[in-house]
Amino acid sequence: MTHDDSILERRLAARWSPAPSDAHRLRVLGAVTAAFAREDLARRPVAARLAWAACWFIVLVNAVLAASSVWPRRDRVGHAVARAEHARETFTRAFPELAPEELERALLVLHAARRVAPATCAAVCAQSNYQHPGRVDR
Amino acid sequence: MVAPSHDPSDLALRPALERGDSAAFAALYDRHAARLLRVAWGLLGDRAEAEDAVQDAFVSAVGARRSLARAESVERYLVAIVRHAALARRRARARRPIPVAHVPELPGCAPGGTGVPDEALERALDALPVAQREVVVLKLDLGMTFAEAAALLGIGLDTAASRYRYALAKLRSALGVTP
Repeated sequence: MTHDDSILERRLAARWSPAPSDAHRLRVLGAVTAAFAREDLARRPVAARLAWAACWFIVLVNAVLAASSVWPRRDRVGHAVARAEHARETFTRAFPELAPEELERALLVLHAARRVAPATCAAVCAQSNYQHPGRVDR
Repeated sequence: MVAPSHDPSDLALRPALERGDSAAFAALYDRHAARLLRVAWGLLGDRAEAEDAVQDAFVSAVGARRSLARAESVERYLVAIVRHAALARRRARARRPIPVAHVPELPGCAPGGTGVPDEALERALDALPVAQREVVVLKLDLGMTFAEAAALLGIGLDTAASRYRYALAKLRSALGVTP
């Protein structure tokens, strides 16, 4: 390092440079505030999406619960009656020689063999006034 | 040279910075803006662009506030961001067409400065390659050692020292100073 270098260094270190002004301070801090506001805005849609997903989750859970319990129970009776009528018609066509009692017995045998649902048999029995062997109230 | 800032209360600011407290950023500006502006001015040589670079750096610091709060030195971290912002502006300026009526800013015309305007020195500095210029700025304007400047620039100690020597030689030559 020469003497001239030292002089040059001093000259460089003492050179003019801008000082921060109040206007610049306001501008920078305004930009900082705006950056925070942009972050908040960017976060908000995520919260909204989460709320939206939560609502859909609740709706779906309710729908699944309703599908698995409420409406099938209500529909099951009508469905059983339809199946009973279908079974009766099928059996009548297949075995026209059978008396109604024998027909009901055949259905009960089928029920015993787990081919026909109990509700079907009950509905068929009710329609034909058949006395189910297990029932004592009629 | 602007007085070095080793304010221990930067430590106290860290939790507020990490939380994203605007007041903490205001305190940070009040403490470091003069030195950051000097770095940006040293790299850009244009007051308006230097102010914009410092503003860009503070906006970047908002996004990187967790890293800023955990940095070994808050001021060094800010200097590094300002340097990146200033270099990005230099690159953008190189791509922009120069207006016909553009007149380089004379330091003496700008209000709010310190020291004596030295137009010849500014022109000589402006002619330096940016790699040499930033070592001069970090060493003389911020009072960093070669080791600190090398760490900040991601270069070797010897490289930093040789860039500085080459810069001084070019400045001597440009200013007509004979060794």
